[in-house]
Order: sequence, then structure tokens, then C-alpha cells
Amino acid sequence: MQRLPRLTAGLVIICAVLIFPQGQLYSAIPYTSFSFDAWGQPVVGPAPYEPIMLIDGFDILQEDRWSMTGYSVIPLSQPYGLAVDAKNHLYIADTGNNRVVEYDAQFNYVRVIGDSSGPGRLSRPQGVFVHDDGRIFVADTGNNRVAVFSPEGTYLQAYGKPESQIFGIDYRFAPISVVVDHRGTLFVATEGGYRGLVQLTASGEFLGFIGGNQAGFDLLWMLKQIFFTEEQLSREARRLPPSPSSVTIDRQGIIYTTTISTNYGQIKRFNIGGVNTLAGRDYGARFLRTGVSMFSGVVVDDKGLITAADANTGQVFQYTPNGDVLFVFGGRGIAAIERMGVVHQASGIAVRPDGLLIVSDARSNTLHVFQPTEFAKLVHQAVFLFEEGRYDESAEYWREVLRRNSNFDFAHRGLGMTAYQNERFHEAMEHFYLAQFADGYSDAFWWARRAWLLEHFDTVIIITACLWIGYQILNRLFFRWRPRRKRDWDQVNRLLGDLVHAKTILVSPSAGFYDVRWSNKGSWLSAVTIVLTAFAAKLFSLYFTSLIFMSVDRNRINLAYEALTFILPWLIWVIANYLISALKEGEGRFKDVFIASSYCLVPYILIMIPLTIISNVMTNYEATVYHFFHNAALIWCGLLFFIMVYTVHNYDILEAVPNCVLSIIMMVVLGAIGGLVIGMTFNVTDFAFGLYKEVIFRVFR
Amino acid sequence: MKMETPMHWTWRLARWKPSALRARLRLLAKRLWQDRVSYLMVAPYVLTFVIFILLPVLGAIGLSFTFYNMIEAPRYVGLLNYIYLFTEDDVFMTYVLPNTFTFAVIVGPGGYLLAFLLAWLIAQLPRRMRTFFSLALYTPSMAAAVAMSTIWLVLFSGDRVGYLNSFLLGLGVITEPINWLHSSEWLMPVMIIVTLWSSMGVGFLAMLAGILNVDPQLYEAGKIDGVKNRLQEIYYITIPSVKPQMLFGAVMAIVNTLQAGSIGVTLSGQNPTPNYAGQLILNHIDDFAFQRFEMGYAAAVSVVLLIIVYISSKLAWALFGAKEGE
Repeated sequence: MQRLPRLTAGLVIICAVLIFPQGQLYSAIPYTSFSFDAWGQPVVGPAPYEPIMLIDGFDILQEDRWSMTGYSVIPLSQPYGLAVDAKNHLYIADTGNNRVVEYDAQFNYVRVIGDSSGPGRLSRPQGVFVHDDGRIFVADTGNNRVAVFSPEGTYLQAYGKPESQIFGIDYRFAPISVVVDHRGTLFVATEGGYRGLVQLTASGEFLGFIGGNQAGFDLLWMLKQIFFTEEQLSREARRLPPSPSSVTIDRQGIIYTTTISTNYGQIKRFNIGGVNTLAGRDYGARFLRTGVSMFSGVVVDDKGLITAADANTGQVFQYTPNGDVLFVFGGRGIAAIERMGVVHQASGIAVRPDGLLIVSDARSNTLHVFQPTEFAKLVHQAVFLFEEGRYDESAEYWREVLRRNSNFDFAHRGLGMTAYQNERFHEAMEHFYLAQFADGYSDAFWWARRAWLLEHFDTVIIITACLWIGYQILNRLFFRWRPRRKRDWDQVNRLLGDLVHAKTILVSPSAGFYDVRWSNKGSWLSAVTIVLTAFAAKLFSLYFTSLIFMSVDRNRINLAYEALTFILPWLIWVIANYLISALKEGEGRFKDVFIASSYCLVPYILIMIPLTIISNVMTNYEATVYHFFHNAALIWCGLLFFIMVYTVHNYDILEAVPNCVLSIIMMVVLGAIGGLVIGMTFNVTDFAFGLYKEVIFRVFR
Repeated sequence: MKMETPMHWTWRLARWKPSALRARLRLLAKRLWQDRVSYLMVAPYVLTFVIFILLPVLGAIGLSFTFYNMIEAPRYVGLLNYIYLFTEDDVFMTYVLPNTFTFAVIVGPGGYLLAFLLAWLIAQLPRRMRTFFSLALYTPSMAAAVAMSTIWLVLFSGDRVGYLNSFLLGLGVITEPINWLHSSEWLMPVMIIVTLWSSMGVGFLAMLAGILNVDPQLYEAGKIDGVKNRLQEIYYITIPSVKPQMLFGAVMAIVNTLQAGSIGVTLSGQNPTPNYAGQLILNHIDDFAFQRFEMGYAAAVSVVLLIIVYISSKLAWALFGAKEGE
């Protein structure tokens, strides 16, 4: 499985070499791209974007009095914010050079703004925005203002720190990102601006904060608030909510922000009332190696697709208008070498109406231009049509997407939704199943089941009624008077008798376990059989539970792992409980604990197997039923374990509680020791093997 | 035990011969006449039972096979009502049934356990305190409607000054007030809490009486036989002794939880409840019977409820009922 893609890649390269022998070798895309399946696992797929250009700014000629030519080349230095205007010109906040650079649609240098002395001189500008009327707004971080330039590049005005009481005298105003809506209202993200975006009118009047994050609930902090004195509290570090790190606006004037140093709700979309309309969930961190997401920029294109760049890894994330991840691509290389498409520290992002993505890289002082591949264009079009409600049109695109990448689950989701909207529920179920989209599957199944019931309900009722009446009549007529002879299963077969003893355990556990200890019920064989059956029941439930109630990805089930997490803990429990009880005057022998513990798993078998089967005709609406029985099985098993402890060891109830607790602690300790021993053994064998190889290599070379 | 032989089978089938049947009927009539005084004695009860319970139930079952809108005469429609209920009635299948199940599963066993526990605790109190506390605990189930408006509606008020909201806001657990009674995710938990609070009804009283009636000698005997603590007392003496009362309590709990309907409407102040979040079977019946006047359909829903209650009671019997030989 693993080798196939590699082989293909190899073949592709060989073919490429054969086809382009003149050294015109197309370089491979220098990063892997992936999408995600429903379980949040990355699935490598074709690249959605390919790098086409690297801009380093060595064509920027600036007037320089001291230079012999009167000009000198000043390349980009720490480019941060990017903006694209109506003519597709690109504006770069060139922070390191205290200026804004403009490029034309073909990425040729046009001019520089804000480098001349006077009131318009910029200081470390981090953000730039071009208004519809052509005015250029610059987040002039170093000067604590937003500077405005005319379309010709002359300085017009500045928005300084608002003088409103509400704004706060101590609150810093160092803009890092700015957008302006069509009414001329400014939304400014500031450095450390934990209160949210600063909202200013066109005349510079402070309107308020919008889109602040929340510090979230913290139990420790709550306790501190209750128990600490004023003085102690004042010494604590202030808990401030994370601040927005960038802001963007889409064509409808809706504001989007990114937030760094949080792993939840990193991207937000605010409606006019300042309410976040994107689902609060993890938008990136779980996909990153670093663990914390640092979104430094976000853009929204005409189709509503959201694209964000992560500063830590240089990866670019693209989402549907609903915030579902479509693609992740890009990423930094090993060393800070300039290479087209390798972004070391993504510091800003811009998108052009023609789909080109421009990502700035503050570490290697470059801009990278990415162009969507055919594959990405198909996906974008499909998503766009789907969001518009043109399901049938989108279906064609989804199919084409699947032809190019059959692992792209999102396409199955789209096709499923299309089928669902068209009331083809069986087809929808199929697609949702392939996409492992549980909620959609549940809805589609509900309708399919309803249709089936509509057709067959009367038949089912009549058959059930007939069977029931027939059973009753037969029962009355024939079976009632037949004497019920209790068959002694022990006589038939020892193992069978031991297994049937499970019934006694279920009906009256105390008596059942008593017999295990003192009447020699159960055997090693029966115990092992029951444990293995329970494990089989678990596997059965893992594999055959309806998608709606599945907790793990069926295709990623690892038998060894499942056995390790099911049988091993049980075994450790038996050992731990035996050891603890032996110390605490328990009367159970190891064999008794082993056998009795195995009987404790019987409810699990009895409930899980039917439940698994029934789950296949249940939907989300009956989830309570499923969870009720699932939990009932676990609680029942737990209770049996408890009864087992006090019956087998002849404790009273109050003695059994500490015994159980101690046994569980012992389990943890044993587990830790076991892990340690296994780890050490592995290391030692590894070392020995390494030594052996080394010796062989040195001696018999 | 007598062994069955083929002879017996033929005899049993022979009972169904016309001549034998006639003879048996004559015998029956004769015995009825002999016991006429006894029948007279039970007649008042049987008559009232038949008139006020059996006939309405049979009537409901009969109506459930008809279309009846209280104006026209009932029209026989066969199983159509039931088919509609399980296939077309999306509200029933997606909200009412799951809600009822969630509600019953938590409130039934929860209230039952609570009732037993509190009954046992109260039984430990001295006599005068005991009367006071049992009255205090029994009151909610009688005066639920009044208490609802004075306690719970204020506690769960959806604005910033509602007790619970205010408390949670003060702690910083929530940042904006939650509309407990009108949000589809919170109405059900609130309903469950309030019902648990008022679940100390007849079942509770029965269990209390049962626990108080346990012969103290039993406990003494238990102590002599080696009962070491209260838990063992409960397990080995109290529970077996009050089994009949516990069965009664269980059946009452089941019936009460399945028939609870007004709670969601009272709390939210509207029927149907917001987003059907607190819609239980009884609300559904009420909705169809007295707002849409589809009596036949409402009767069908009632019959389904009856069947559910019957099955759950059977379950309770199986769990708590005295078994033969015990």
C-alpha cells in the first residue's frame, strides 16, 4: 500500500526525465498536500495549488541620493500584510523597510508608498488595505496609527488612538491589520488587542470593540477568585483573552478574524451584530506538528472560500464557507533556503479574483505566488455551486473531483447531500457512508427507513400479531402442561455447565460468585472462553455498529491494539485484585478471581451483540436508547465486578470498596511498571542487536 | 409431578367437543348461582371498574381504528392511524418518542431510587421529625403547579437576574444568560430536575410505610447473625422486607413518568413546547385530541402509550415481583 504512491512518483519522474531531456525539468511541488477524512485523519491528495512564482523584490528601485546612479535596489524585508486592489495590483506592507510596495497584475514593480519624509512616513507597517475607491489604508504599527494614502500615493490623513473614555487610556493602539467596509468604517486589529477589533467611523470616532475573544472558563481561576484576597489576586498574572491577529473583509462586508495562541475557534466570521457565525471548533492545531496554531492571515475569495496561513509551519489551510477544511498545503522546508513554494514563516496572505494566492514570508523576505490546479478549481466550483443550492450542477463537479482523487471524502459528502436534497436516500446513504459522515447518514437513513415502514408497516404489524397470538395459543394448548425439567448441564458437558452458570451470575450474582469460590463452578477453560467471547463481542460491535454510533474508524481498527486495550486491562485487574486481596485477608484464590472476573463480562456480551445489530436500524433520534443500553452494559459489568470482589473474598460491602479502589490503583502501577519493563527490554534488545550488527560489520567486512 | 401421556392430550382435546362443552357450561351456571352472594358483594366494584375504566379503554382501542373528529360519526379506517403514527408522524418519531424515552429512563429509575433512599433516611428519624419531613417531601408532588411558579420559574428565569443565570454569570461559567426554559437543549434537563424534585409521591409514601413496618426483631436477629453495618441491613433485611411496596413504587414511577406531560408545557408556558424539546407522549395526545380534534388518532397514540406502560410494568414485575418459591 505504502509503496504504490512512491513507485508512481518514481515513474512520473522517470517519464518527466524522458519527456524533457533538454534540462527543462519541471520541478515537483515541494510540499505534500492533504485533505481530511471524517475522522480528522489527513489523507494525502493531489496538490490543490502549485507555486508559480517567487517574488523577492530585487526589481524595486528606490531613489537614493547617495548611490551613483541615483537609484538603489532595496529588496523586500519582512513583508507582512498583503492586499489586492480592483486592478489586481498587489500591495505589500514591507515592514522591514518601513514602506508599502505596489506590484501590478503581472507582478512587476510599480511604486513605493510611504517612504518619503513628512507626516506620511511609515514606521514598521504590518497591514495594508485598498478601499473600493482606491484609497490605501496602512496599519502603521510603529506610529500607532492607521495612515491613509490617496490612490496616487499621497498622504491624506491618519487615524490615531481614539480619545474616547471607553477606549481606555492605558489600552495600546498599535494597528497590525486594518479593513474598511463600504460605509468607510474601519476595523483595526491591534497588537495585544485583547478587547477585539477597534471599530472607527470614517471621521475617526470610536464606535466600540467588536469580535473580542473570550478568556474562557477556568476552574482554577474561579477558585482563586473565591479564596484569594484582593492582594493575592492582584499579584496573579492577568488572564487576558487572546487577541485577533489579522482581519479581512469579504465582498458582502462581513468581517473575518484570525486569533493566535488558541486552538479553538481560530477563525471567526462576524455578522453585523458582532456574533461569530462560524462554528467554534479547532481550525488548524490538530493538523499541525507544532500543536499550536498561529494563523497570521486570512482571506475570503468571491466564492466565499476561506483561506488562512499559519505562521509556524507555513501551511495554508483552505475551508468551505462553512468552515470545513478542504485542503492543507505548503509548509516550510528544513533550512531557510529560498525555494519557490516553500514558506518558512507565512506572515500575510492575499487572493486575487482569478484564484491566485499570494503568501508573504517574513523570514526569507519573499512572496510566493500559488496557482490553483485543475483539481482545486473543480472542488472550488463544486463547493460554490453547492453553497448556492445548485445541487445537481455541483454533482457533476463532485464526480469529476472523485475521478481525480477518489479519496476526497468531501466530494462524497457533497454527492450525498445532492442525493439527499433530491430525495434519493439510498444513494445519499451510500455516499455519506463513504464519507463517514454520521449525521448525514442518520438523516438519510431516517427517510429511507420511513419509506420502508410506509410500505411494509401493516405487513409487519399483522405478522407480529399473528406470531404473538399463535405463540400464545400454542403455549396454552401444548407447552403449558409439559413439566419443566431442569436439565443439569453439568451432566452434559463440564464446559457447557460452567457457561450456563453465567445465568445464575446474572440473576443472583452473590449466589453465583459464591458457587465459583466454594462449589468449584467455572474452570480456566470457561473463563478464557468468556473473555474471548467478550472480546469477540467488542470486535463485533466495532465492526458492525451502525456508522451513526461508531466511535472509531472501521478501516483503522488494529486487532492487536484492540486486544491490548481489552484483554490486557482485564488480566491486569485480575492480578491486581488478587495481589491486593491476598494482602487484605481475601479468601479468593487466583483461580477464583480469574473465573469470577470473567463472568463479570457476561452482561457486556449479552447487551452489546443485540445492541450492535439493532443499532443498524437506529438513527440519531434514537441515540438515547443506544447510549442507555451501552451504559447499562458497562454499569452492570462494573456492579458485577464489585459484587465479585466482596463475594469471592468474603468481605462485607464496606471492606470491598477500598479493596476495589486499591485494586484499580494497583492496576495503574502494574501498567506503568509493565510499560517501563517493555520499554527497557526493547531498548536493551535494540542495543544488543545494534552491537551485534556493528561487530559483524567491523569484523567481517 | 404427574407425567404427561398421550392419553391426557386426547382428553384435553375432548373437552372441546360440543357435548362436553354444553355440560361444562351447565356446570358453570350452576356454580355461579351457588356463589351469587359473593358476586353481589363484588358487583359495585366490578360495575364501576367496567363503566369507568374498562369501557373507556375498550372504547379508546375501538376509536383508534377510526377517523373521528367529534362532529361526524367515527369512520372505520383500519390500521391507518397506527401506520401514520409510525411512518408519517415525524414529530412523534423524531421528538416525542426520543424525548419520552430520555425522560422516562432518567426520571423513572432516578426518582425511584431517590424515593427509596429518602424514605429510608426519613425512617431513621425520630417520630415527630419524621412526620414533618415526610410531609415536606410529599408536598411537591401535591402542590407542584404552585411551587413551579414560585420556585422553578424564578430559579430558571431566562434573563440576567434569574437566580441560576445570575449565579453562573457571577462565577464566570457562562458569559451570557441562558434561556433555560425556552431553549431546545436546556428544557429537557430542567424538566428532569423539576420532575425528580416532585417525584416523592404515592410510591414514596408506600415505601416509607413499608420500611417503618419492617419488624425490628429482624434487625436484631440480623445483628446477632453478623450484620455489621447499615448497608448490609438495607441489602439483606430492608429491601427483601419492603419488596411489595417497592414493586408498587416502581409501577407508580413508571406510570407517572410515562404519563407526565404537563411539566414541559407548564415550564415553557407553551404547547407545543419550544422546538418540541419537551414534548412527551401525553402532550402529543393532548395536541391531537384537543387542538386538532383528531380523536381517532389521539386514541391510537393513547393505545401505544398503554402498550408501553404495560410492557414496562411487566418489566417491573419481572424485576421486583415476588417469584414463586421466594
